[in-house]
Amino acid sequence: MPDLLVAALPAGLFVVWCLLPGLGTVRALLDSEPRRALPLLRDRWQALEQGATAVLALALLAIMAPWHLVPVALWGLAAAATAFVAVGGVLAAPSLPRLAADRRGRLRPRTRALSALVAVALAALVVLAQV
Amino acid sequence: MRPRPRLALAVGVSVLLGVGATALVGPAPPTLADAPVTGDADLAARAVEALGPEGVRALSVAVVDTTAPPPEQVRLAAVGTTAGAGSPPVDPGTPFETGSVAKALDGLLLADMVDRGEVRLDERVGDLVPGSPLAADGEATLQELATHRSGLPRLPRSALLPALMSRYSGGDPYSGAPADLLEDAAGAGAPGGAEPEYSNLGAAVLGQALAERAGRPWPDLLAERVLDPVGMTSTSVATTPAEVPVEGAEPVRANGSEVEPWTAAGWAPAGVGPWSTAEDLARLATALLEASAPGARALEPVTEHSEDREIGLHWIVSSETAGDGGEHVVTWHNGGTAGSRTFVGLDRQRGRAVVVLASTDRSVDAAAVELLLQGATRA
Repeated sequence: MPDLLVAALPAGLFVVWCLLPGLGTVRALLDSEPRRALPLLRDRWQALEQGATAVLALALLAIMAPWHLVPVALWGLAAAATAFVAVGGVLAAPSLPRLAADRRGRLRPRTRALSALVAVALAALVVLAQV
Repeated sequence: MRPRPRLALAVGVSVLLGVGATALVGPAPPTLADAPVTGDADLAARAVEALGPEGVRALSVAVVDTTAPPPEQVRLAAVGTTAGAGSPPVDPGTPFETGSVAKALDGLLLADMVDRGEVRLDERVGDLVPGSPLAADGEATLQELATHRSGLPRLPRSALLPALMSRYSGGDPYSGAPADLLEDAAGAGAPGGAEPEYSNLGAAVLGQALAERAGRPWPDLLAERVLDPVGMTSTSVATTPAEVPVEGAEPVRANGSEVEPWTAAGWAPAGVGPWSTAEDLARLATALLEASAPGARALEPVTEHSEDREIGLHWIVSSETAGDGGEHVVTWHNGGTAGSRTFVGLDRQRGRAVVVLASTDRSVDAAAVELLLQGATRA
């Protein structure tokens, strides 16, 4: 399979797990009015989960992308974007509720906590495997 | 904190972290550009040009031309270093993981044992391993194992998840003693009479079955029957991490990710654990061209492998077109581990051969064939 095609998978994951959530982080930091077209950072559990999945996506990008064909500077940009999601989540946390209802008005504390902790564990596993 | 200063702070800290992360842990793809060269400088330059320097940390090449004057019959060159920055340069005597080139060695071993009357090509594999789980159901013949027609899958189910995980971790996905391998094969089923399907499991079973018939471990048997007679004194089989040659070229992916070398006693005949050098494989290639190597009949095609390829006992035979439009029949086998790629190919009609060993996960096949068809002699 061509190298660039193999890189499409981690690149796609990075867009979904980091760049898109990053827009929600920007909105949370600006404390702006919600707009349907942009993602929303709802609560602190989501901030934690997004930070972990962004780190996971960055680690997969480092492992799988063809860096002998693509400028390493792009990884630097990806690292900065990942840091933004994590740091932004920390800075936005004080103004976020600990747990918010979803679009259907459901509060699911156990599910949300488990989802976030699984993301943290996966990210830690992949990163530690490379150390 | 007001919103816009929070955003500015987040951006500023992120940029700093991004720069720091890139400097400390960012990808560092290897390259042969400006790498140290040993041996034949002209051959080294042509090899690097044929392969391309990016994504390769070490390259060792041999080109054999039996029609050339004796001093020029074997040309050797190496480029790069054994590991990261500051490590020793590689030379033509530096060991590399062979990967599946070991299958080709096992093919020579099989042919040698056939020549000695110790086994038959039409013998069922179950008869070589009495008392093992494969004894009852191992209907595939030794020839079918050597031509990937045994019906065994590429890998057993037990190896699929480790193989997937190792893609991310860079760890060694292989494990198991010969007895474990035979048990896996029994579970997968070796009915024989199948369409060609490349099988590492089948190749490993073949080697272990030969070892069982001979009554000694496969590495010892290979050394006695193939390596020692040819003079391949720098070729070894690592069945544990402690046996990996310390002077060897460490495997690495093209994107710079470090990976572990592969070792597992059961899988050695399939290419897990053997290490060799350009010098040693050049000796083998020379002996094969001169028809003096044991088991040379393994190079003769015995069946079709695909639409445009035939196969001997593991050795693949295909037609390649040179730059002048001439057709060349090439007998070859390639190899690959997580971070090494290899190729041994012979143009028997013209008395030429090429060996390429590289620390990368980029294919070296096209570059090797290009070097083979260019010829070895100087103008």
